Amino acid sequence: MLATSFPEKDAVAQAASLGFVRGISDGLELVDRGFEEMLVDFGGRSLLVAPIAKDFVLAMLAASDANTQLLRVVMGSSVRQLRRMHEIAEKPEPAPAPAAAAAPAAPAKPEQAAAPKPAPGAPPPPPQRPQQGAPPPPPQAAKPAPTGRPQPPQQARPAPPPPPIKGQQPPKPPPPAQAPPQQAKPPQAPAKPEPAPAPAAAAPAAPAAAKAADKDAEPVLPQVLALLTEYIGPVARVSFKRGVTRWRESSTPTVGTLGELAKILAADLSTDSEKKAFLDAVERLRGN
Amino acid sequence: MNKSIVDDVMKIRGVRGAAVLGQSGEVVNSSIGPKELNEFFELLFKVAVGGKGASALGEVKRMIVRTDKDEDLSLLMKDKQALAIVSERSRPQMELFAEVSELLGRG
Repeated sequence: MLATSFPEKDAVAQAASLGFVRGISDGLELVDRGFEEMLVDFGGRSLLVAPIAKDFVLAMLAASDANTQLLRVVMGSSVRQLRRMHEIAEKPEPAPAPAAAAAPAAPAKPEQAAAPKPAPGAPPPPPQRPQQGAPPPPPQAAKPAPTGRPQPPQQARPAPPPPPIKGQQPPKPPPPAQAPPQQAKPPQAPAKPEPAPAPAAAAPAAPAAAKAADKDAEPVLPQVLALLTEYIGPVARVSFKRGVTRWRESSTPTVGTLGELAKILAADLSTDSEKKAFLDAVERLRGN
Repeated sequence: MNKSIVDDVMKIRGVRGAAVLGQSGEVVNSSIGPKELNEFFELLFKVAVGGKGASALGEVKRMIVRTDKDEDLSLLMKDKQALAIVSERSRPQMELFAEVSELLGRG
C-alpha cells in the first residue's frame, strides 16, 4: 500500500479492503483482462477498484450513503491523473483476455508500484500525497448525486487532465519527449488550484430572486462541472462558466431548470451519444 | 433462483447475456456465449464468497466489472447463488438492477 486515507480507527475496514483488493487484483487480473473498473457492493459500503497498471490499483471504500455513481466519475479522473503522474499509457492495452470479450494483444506495460501487493522489486512509490489512496471527492461528494454517465470514448481525444481536486496535486502535462520517471522527484509544486466556477460569478445583474434561485442550484453545479470535465477535460471550466451565464440569462437558475443548463453545455460535446449520456446524467443529478 | 430466470433477464433492455450460478459457483444455466466469460463469472463468484476481508466489510451483494468493450459484467448474489449479467454500458445500472431485482423478487 502506497498511500491511504483510512483513519486509524477504521483499520479493520482498511485491512479488509486491502485484503479484498489483493484478492481481486491477484485473482481477477483486471488489467490483463482489460477491465477498467470494478465495484463490489457489500450491501452498505462499496469498494471501488480501478487498475492503474499491472499490480497498481486505486481503491476507494465508499460509505453506505455515498453516491457511487459520482465516485466512479471521480475515480476515473483520479486514475487518469495517476497514469499521467507515473507516465503510464492512458489506457493500458489488455493482454489477450482469457475472459470477456476478446481483448487486443498488449504491448509491454510499465510495471508500476503495487498498491495492494508490494511486488518484489517494485519500482519506487509514486510521489506521496496526503490521502492519495482515496482521493477526496469533489466538493459535493459527501452527498453527491448520481450521474450514471457512461465513459466517453477515450480515443476521441488525448484524454485531457481532469481539474485539480482540492488538496490534490494537479497532474503534470504529458511529457513532450521521453522524460525520466518522476517518482523520485519531490512532488511538484501545486499549481494554483482553480476553484469551480462560482455560480454567482457570471451574473452581473442578477436580481435577488435569481440569487435565491442560485442557492437552490448551487450544490449541484460542481457535480455538473465534474461531469462535463469527464467529457471535455479542463476546458469544461470555460464552457461551464459560459453555459451558466447563458443559463442565467435564459432561465431561472434552479435545480428545476438544470436541464436547460445541460442542453447548453451538451452543445460542446462531440457526439450525439455523449450528449445524450450527459443529458441523462444531469437529469439524474437533478432527480437526486 | 430458478434457472429459467435467464430467459426473463435476457428480455431486459440492454442485457446481452445472463447466467445462473449455483451454490458451488458453477454455471448451471447460461445464455452467455463465450466460455471464458462464464468462467470469469465463476471466478467472480469465488471472490465474492471467499474474498479476503469480505466478511469484515459485509456480505457481497453485487459485483460489477466495467470492461473496455462497452459492457458491464455484473454478478448479483442471492440465496448463495448468483445471477450473472452481461449488459450494455449505455444501460444505466440502476435501472437495470431495478428490473432484475423485480424479476428476482418474483422468482
